Amino acid sequence: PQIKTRTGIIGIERSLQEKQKETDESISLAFQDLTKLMDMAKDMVAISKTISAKIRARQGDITEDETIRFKAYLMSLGIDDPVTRDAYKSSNEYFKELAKQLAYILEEPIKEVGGMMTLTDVYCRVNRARGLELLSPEDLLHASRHLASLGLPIVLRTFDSGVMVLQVLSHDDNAVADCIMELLKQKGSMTAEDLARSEGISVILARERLLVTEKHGKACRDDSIEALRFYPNLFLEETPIFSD
Amino acid sequence: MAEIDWPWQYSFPPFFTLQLHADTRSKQIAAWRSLVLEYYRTTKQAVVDVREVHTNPLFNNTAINRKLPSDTVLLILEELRKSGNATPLDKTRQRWLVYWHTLEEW
Repeated sequence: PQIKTRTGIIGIERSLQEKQKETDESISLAFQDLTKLMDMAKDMVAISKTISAKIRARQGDITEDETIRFKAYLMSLGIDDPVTRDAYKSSNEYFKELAKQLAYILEEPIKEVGGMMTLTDVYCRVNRARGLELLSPEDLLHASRHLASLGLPIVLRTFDSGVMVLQVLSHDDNAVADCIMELLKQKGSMTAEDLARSEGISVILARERLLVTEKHGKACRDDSIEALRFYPNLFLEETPIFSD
Repeated sequence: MAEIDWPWQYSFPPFFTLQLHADTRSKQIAAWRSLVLEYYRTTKQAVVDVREVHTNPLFNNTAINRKLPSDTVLLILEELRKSGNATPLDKTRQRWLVYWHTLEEW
């Protein structure tokens, strides 16, 4: 049998080896646990799929409560299966509650910044305020989609450019367009940056506002290498100088 | 070359960007149409070469540093063709004849 020496270079080497072995073991143990956990999740996914198939087969037979509970399960698993789920319930309770909470905490801040806030800004504000139990971007988006159907004072809106904002219900495009037109007349012309600076709103929103004004025929664009500037729409206002 | 009486649009920068709003665009194109005809009548020219269009003060206002993009020039020439005031000289539609009176009027 080997004699264990605790001194000398061999002793040091041996202790190092032992330590390495220990870490190896703990690492492989951790991964084993993880695979076990994944296996469990896989089972849950399989089960939830069969349940959703069953729901589909029974159509309306199932009570509302059951679908809601089922959705809560899916949510906690992190399985996104909206195509099959959407047919049964517009979305789950969690999103509805979240939507209510969003409306409650955001109504005032949104009014402060002029009735409109981009979804990314909302995401920042909400998560910074929360600290723990953060929202995922999907959660926020899904919750925002429910704002309108719950009759809450703020709604989700998607611009033509794909930018999504939350705006207060009282927000009126026409009024904004008129207001921007007045500003354009005062200043002669403006870029999105100019408007953002003078109104104290973000550049993205300023740009969308100018585009809305353009869409209402109250502004026109000047696209050059300098910048995209917006002018009052003189084409529609002035009488043509040439007559045919 | 005779002096041209430039319309107000000529010194209005948005005139040199094709507008997205439908009504605005039709007004803009109508203004361009009449300006092009007026210009060619006053300067007594008839040939537009799309490739050399930026040497032409009509489409290049150096005072406000704006040029009308070539594809927009083509669009206006197309409009003129529809009303019988222009015809392409070659198949690639690079050279155009502009008639300040339509052929029927002549």
